[in-house]
Amino acid sequence: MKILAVNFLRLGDILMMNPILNALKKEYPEAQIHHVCFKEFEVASQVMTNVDQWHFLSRGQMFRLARENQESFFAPADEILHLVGALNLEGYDQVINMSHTRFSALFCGLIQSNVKLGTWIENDVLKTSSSIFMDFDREEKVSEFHYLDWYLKGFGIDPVKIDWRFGNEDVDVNPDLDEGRNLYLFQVLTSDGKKAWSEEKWLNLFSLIRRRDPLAKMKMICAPFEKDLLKDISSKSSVEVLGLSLAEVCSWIRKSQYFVTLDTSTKHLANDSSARVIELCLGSADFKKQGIYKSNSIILFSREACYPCPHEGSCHKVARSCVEGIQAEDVAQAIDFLNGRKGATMSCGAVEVVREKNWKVQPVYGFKGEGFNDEAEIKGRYQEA
Amino acid sequence: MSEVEVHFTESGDSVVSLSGRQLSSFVDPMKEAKLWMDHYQHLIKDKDVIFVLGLGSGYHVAKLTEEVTSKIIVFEDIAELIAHFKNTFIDKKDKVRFVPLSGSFNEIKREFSKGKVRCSALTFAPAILHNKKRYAEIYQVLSGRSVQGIQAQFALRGIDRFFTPEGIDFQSPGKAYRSLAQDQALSSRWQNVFKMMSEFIK
Repeated sequence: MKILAVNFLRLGDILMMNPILNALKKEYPEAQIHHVCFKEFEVASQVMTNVDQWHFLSRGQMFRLARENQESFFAPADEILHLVGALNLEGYDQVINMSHTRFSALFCGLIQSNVKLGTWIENDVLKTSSSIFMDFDREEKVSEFHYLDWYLKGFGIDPVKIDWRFGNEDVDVNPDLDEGRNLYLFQVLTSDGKKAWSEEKWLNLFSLIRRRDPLAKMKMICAPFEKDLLKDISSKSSVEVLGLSLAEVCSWIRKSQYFVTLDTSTKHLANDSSARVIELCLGSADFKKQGIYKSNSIILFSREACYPCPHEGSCHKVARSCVEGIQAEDVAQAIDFLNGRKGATMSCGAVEVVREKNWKVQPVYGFKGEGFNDEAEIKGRYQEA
Repeated sequence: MSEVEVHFTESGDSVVSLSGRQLSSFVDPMKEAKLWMDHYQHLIKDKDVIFVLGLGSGYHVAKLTEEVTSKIIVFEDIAELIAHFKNTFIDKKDKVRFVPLSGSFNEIKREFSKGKVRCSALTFAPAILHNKKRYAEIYQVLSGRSVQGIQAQFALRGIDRFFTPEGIDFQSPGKAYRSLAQDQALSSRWQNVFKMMSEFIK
């Protein structure tokens, strides 16, 4: 049996669908799973070892071919048809569309298969394998589902039994942790500027954590090519930068106790770990659709009326007020909350992820009591501090 | 009757002129070929066939044979130039197919019928000036960025009764793909592909 999974979204969205591929592999152990996506996100293959064969369409090349006057006007169309021809020769028994775009629905319409799951367009008609796929966001109507739950329900997979496991072998990372020391990882960069937190706030957070947990090991993680972007913040904070492959990120997160992240692809890797995750949702990062999926996680978000803003276009405000809405203290208190300790009221929106049948969030109300600045308690915990 | 003359550069490279017009650099044709190749580097990757418009002294074609494994077809009418290439680049002559301009459309069609549709058209300016109009027509067919070019591209794919929508704007590819996608004369397969392109380049 051959199954083709189609996902023409970005890296995070591809990683988020890993449980679906794990479920397919479990249901059809003998099946060959192929995956088609944009070439730019080829890196997903490092950790999604449940895929037997990858196929790619280069997004950058398509843009270039279409816009380059020296290229044939038909060249990008030929690239699509070339890929479609190659895929149709594979003879898939099942095509499963895991991206909710018109582009992927049109693509699935071109692939020959007896069974199609998800959405596809044939003769200008949108077809779906389940009525739930008609429940997408349009105009004022907003779907209630987390994207993963939406697909799980649509494909008939029990959300309770999902398996997040990324299949990469654990890379040998050595965080050099002495007994009892905590490893904090920070995903500081994001590919979308609208989702970024300010450098000043990150620096505040680092010094705050150092005050509360003097023996903390802190590392910023990023892709190897992004390392230079963090040089400055690293020299100001003395927090080391790790330029890591996706497989290495997986291993590091598994070894960490805390992972503070923006809305980026790496947060989905944290779903396959026991790390306590604090996700900061700013700008267009809509946690209700693609937030962290594991329990033991807190999502902090801006209370600004314009949050979440649309993906397209830049921020309409002079300064991004959603950045101001989340303070370093809020993150520190979220860490407290995950440790079962109580703190003061947060200035931003905060929800705790609950995994019951589906993904759910419940508000973290203003909890009062001793704060993290309790010097006596810190001294009690760390005699040497 | 064209008048092809063979000359030699100071470093001894054999170059040609046509009716007194130089068909390549007479100082450093190899450097010129390298610059030409650098300019077209982005057009030669992952192609089934590369069509070269104009042979001239042939250094650019020789350089191209070193860079790619794709099939190379050169459109050239003048037999003396072809003979010059074969004598000068003995080890490369078998890597290139020469086709006269009058047979260009049939040649392109033959390649397309074999499914080799991923192609590039590279022009070598000094070598096409003597027959600019005819070379421009071939380029139009291969680039497909004009009404006639679009129709020719469909004809190459065996779709003959295609009418290009009016007012198609080639300067704005997204709009151009969108108007092609709405054309009911096309099969749903082609409509789907153009819809995908218009989604892609909004």
